[in-house]
Amino acid sequence: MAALPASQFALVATVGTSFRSILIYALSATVALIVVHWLARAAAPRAQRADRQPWTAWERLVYAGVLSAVGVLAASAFGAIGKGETMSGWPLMLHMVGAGVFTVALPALAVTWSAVHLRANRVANGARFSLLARAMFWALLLSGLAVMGTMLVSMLPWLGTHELEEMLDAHRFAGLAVVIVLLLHAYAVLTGRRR
Amino acid sequence: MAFSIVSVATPTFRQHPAQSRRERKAVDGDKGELGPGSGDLIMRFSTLIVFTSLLLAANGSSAAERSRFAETGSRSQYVHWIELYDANFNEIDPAAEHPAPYSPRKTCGRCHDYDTIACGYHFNARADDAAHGRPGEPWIWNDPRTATQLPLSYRGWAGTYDPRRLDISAWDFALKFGRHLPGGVEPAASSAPLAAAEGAPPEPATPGNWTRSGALEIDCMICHAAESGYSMEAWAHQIDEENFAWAPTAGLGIGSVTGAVADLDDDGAGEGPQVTYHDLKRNGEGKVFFNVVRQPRNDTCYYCHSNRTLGGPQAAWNHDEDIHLRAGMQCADCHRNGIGHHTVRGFAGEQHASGEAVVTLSCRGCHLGEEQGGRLGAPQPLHAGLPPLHLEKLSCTACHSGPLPGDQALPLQTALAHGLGLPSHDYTAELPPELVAPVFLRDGETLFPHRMMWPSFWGAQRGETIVPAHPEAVYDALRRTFRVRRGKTLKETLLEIRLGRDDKTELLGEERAGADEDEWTEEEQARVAAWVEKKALADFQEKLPEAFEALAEVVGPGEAKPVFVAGGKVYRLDSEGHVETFAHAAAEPYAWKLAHDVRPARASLGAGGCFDCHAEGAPIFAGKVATPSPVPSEESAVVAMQELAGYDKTKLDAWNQSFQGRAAFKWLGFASMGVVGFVLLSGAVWGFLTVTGVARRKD
Repeated sequence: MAALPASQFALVATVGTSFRSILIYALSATVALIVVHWLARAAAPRAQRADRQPWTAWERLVYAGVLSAVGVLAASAFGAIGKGETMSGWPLMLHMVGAGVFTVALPALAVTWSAVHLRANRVANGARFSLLARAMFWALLLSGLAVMGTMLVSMLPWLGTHELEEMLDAHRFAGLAVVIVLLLHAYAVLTGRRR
Repeated sequence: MAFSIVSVATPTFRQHPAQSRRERKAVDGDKGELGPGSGDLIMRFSTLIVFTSLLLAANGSSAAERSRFAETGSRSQYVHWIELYDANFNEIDPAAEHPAPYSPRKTCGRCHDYDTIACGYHFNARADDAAHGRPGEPWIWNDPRTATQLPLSYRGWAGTYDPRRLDISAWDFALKFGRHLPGGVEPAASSAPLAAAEGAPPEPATPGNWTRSGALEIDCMICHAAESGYSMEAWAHQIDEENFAWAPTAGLGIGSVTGAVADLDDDGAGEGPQVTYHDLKRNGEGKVFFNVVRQPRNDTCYYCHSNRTLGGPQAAWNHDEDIHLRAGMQCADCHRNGIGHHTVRGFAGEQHASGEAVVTLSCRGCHLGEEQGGRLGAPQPLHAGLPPLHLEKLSCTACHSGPLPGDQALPLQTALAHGLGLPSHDYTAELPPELVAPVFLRDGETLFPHRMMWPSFWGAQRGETIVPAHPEAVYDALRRTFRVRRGKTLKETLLEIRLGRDDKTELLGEERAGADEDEWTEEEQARVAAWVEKKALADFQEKLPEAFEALAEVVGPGEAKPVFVAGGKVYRLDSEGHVETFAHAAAEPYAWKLAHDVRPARASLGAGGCFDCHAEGAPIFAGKVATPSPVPSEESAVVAMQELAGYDKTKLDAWNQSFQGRAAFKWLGFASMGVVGFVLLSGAVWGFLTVTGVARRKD
């Protein structure tokens, strides 16, 4: 097919290609950052472990829900993007299932964990979460809101093709932000200790 | 915009076309000042000859071509006062006792490059080195007497058969399909631009009666006659009479033709065709006025490109036709061409023979292209709420063109296949060949609506290959076997079964056996019809061995095995002489993409929301396509479009199910966003208060 100069179709291809590069670099950088931090932390003298409240079953369930939903969403989306394809068929359906879980799990996470992330310094025996975890929690809510909003608005008969393309692009970047933030949050939470 | 090309009086020196006679005279006078015979003139003339030779050598033949055909360069219509010429390039005196028919090649070709035009898309089917583009509608050799529906095309489209390979000569082809051809079917010797490429099928051994019929030249006036003056009926009639060379004269209506080549004896004796020219509009120089339009009218295109769907929800008179035409556009506004007559077909990805970019003459290029789109004021669709993925998975035509899909693909008649445009009493729904539309099939990953036909023919199987036999030879071989009466189809003949008293008693019972057919109940009629069909099937199967035996003489001796292809399967005799059927690629349907009529946006698929397509039983996927058979058949295979398109039904069903909860998901999503947003807002307020110390002071 002959190229349509500067049309939205060309835009899709351009954005798709550049996003794939950004995706690879961003995820690699995040993983590298985590590994470097973990190595540096392992080499440093161990600080005394702070006493922290244990997680309740509900907190575990909610967090597992968010993790699994984002995992499914990322795998279904990034797989297609990595192959340079548009997501469709079974991967798209899987993505929708993940989106359903995410839509329920994220507000549950927000309601369940917001208080402790706000009042971290006031909990007896110190904060439950590190500064990184707290920052990533709020970033997760923000990027999660963006990722939901970009898709939900796209599902309404409001925007035209070009705007939908831009919204899809925004959805991709918001989704990438969710993944990166959640990776950092999970790392901070799982290894969470203050020195 | 194409500019007309006209001949000019060939001047010795190139002149500016806007020069007046006085200006030209002045130039001549200047030259004269040099003085005849002067050495200076000789020097200048010699220099000119050398310079001209160098120029010609540098430009090659293009310079010579330019010198022959000149342009008006204007958008205004050139007024055609012209001389008429016959095929031998003799000027015609219309008042002569036996004038010859006018020849478009010689008359129009004096000023217009006939050989170049002959390479245009409407005329270049037999040019093997031409770019034939995506598959289109084939010429269907339809012979109801032998249930033949054979898709033919010189263009090499997969699923069609090249007439040359079936020993169908160009002359046979012209005689059969000339009714809807714009000419351009000529004996090989006179169609040099269409010379066959290396490896092309050879022309059949029996070339036809060209010497008497004359060539079926491209008739420019079929498309370029102004108003509705051209009679395609007269054109078709002359072709039917084998008066090929007389068809342009009769079609344009400038002369009457009597006599027919078809009536001549084998030795040529008899009254051949004669022309009597009517009162032509002539000027003082004896030139004839041809009322010519540069851009063909829609009505002209419609003669060959009409189609009608039968059994649809709307009567033909209540149909709105294509939205573009209703908006005041002309077919040629998009399907345009230059003097090369490479008419733009308008599909996405079309590579124009001229090398000109024609992307903005396709649906997407015109309506969605941002920089060069919007031609002729084409609106840019919003496609509000339609995920962009649809623009990759669906062609524009899938949602916007053809009959709105229903529970079943509908029967279709076209001008090329059924002869629409010519007056007839036979345009019934049962008129073969059997075509259906719309059928949604995928090309790559993209879904397109198609028109579809199932080939039906008698032929030979050699190894794994099945090749049709010449339909006329088949008829000659089979007519004694099936004895199909004039005006009847083979199927109708086989279904003409008279019920005896015993048959009626068996079917209707003793008491009702004596009742008139008019008195039968619907249930009784259905019972009788089923019995007749069963009996007709048995008769057909009984006659098939005899038919194959007769066909063996046509397909020749050796390994070739006579076969009959119909209804999506192949019939042949097994080693024990019993009829067997099997599947084969030759029996698979031939489909071609449809583009018109384009429906208005509100009548497109999806205008009613996602459920137009994403629901159980949605016609675009679940619509049924029945395999018609031109002979009695045990069963009519019915296939869902999703199956023909190669979709996974499980996936489609799962997808449709997911849409059931789409509205709830939206509500849930916005509620979820509300909760998350509230928490974020609370956090932000709390953070602000903390940072500003308000919260701490309050504590």
